[in-house]
Amino acid sequence: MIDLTQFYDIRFLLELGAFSILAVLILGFSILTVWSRNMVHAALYLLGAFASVAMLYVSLNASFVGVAQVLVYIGSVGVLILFAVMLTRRTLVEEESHG
Amino acid sequence: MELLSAITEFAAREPKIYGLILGLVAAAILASVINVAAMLLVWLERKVMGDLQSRYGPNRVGGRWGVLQLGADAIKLFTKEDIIPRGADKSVYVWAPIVAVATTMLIAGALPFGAVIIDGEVIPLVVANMDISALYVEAVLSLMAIGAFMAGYASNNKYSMLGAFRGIARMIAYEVPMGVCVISVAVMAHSLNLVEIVNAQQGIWFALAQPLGFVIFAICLIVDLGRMPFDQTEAEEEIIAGYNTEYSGIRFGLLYFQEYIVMLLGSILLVLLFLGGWNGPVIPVITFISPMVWFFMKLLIVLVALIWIRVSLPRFRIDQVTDLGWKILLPLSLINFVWAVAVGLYFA
Repeated sequence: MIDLTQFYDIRFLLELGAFSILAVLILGFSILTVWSRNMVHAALYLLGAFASVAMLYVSLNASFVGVAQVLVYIGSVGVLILFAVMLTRRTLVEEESHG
Repeated sequence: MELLSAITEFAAREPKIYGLILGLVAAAILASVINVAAMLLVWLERKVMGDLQSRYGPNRVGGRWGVLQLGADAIKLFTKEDIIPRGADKSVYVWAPIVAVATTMLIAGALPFGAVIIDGEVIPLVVANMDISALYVEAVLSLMAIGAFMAGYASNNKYSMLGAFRGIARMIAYEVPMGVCVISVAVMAHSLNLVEIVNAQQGIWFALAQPLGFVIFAICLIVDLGRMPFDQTEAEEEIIAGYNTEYSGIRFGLLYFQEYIVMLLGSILLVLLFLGGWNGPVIPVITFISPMVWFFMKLLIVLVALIWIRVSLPRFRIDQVTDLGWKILLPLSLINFVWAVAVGLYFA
């Protein structure tokens, strides 16, 4: 049974709101990463998912893990993925609308 | 006074909500102040460049010093036609300037903008005083290449693409020595907190304690800012204007301002990490803002030095830049790291 009185507490609602926004962002970016037909778009959506996960870590008071996520995943892995995508064949990248 | 006591009472009762409101207000103030400061920086650069090149610089709009030139520039950029090329990847093209400016503004939250003395106590002016703010700033600095990459990719122009490639290659090459220099400073200061790092420099500036690290960090910073000897991403003579070739109007304005915002924030970072921040003898009459005076004096000197370097040095080739990063600066930064550890242990 959920204790409904906690919903009257503004602090609880704020935390719930922040978590919900981050959850929607992470899930949305992840789904878009898989669905996107354009590989560069997929890589950029993946960066968005990484950034949202970093924000989730910060909201859990684990700021070092959050910063490490930004440094390692967005700064290095994400940029390497972008590089790799750019070095794939042009037809893959430009299948849709671009060019 | 009644209002003040009500606020302190609310802060004691609801520290989290108070912190949230305070953070939002501070973020709003920071965003507006930094944009205005970046505009002033554009004016400063044009004026100092004019002086260094024996010409007047802006001197028509707003009196003899041309102080209203920046307003005229901003109005011009706002009212110009906003063109999106037909072959462009529209969504990425629209989002690129926003991402570029947003990732740059993220740095500002963790940087202390000087300090004030109240009742003999030095209070740093910083929005988010995190334990790991130096690492945070270093991490966020590496995000700037993504905005430039998006702009270059989405423009569907081979020159833009080349500019974006160069930006990413350069970022990868210089992120490592820069990070090692930040870690060396943290080892010497026994902290990753920027305020603690400044406090650790009350005896001796880190620029003097590790001169090699200072030189490497300054070079890496100029590369990260994309300023003159290292502005290969937008080399006019080779690739038109690099990643922002196709941009016009307010979107170009955002990308253009982003460069100046990051120039301001990067100079502040250099002052904090190596030049002693706001440390300095207390000035008797204006005790309250005497740390601010020292801080802004150092900041102004760094900014003018950056403009001076831009005017006086020619551009490197891109392969020379990556060579410099990987083959010279990275080993030297590791040597500096060993030096910092040795000295840090000796004085610990």
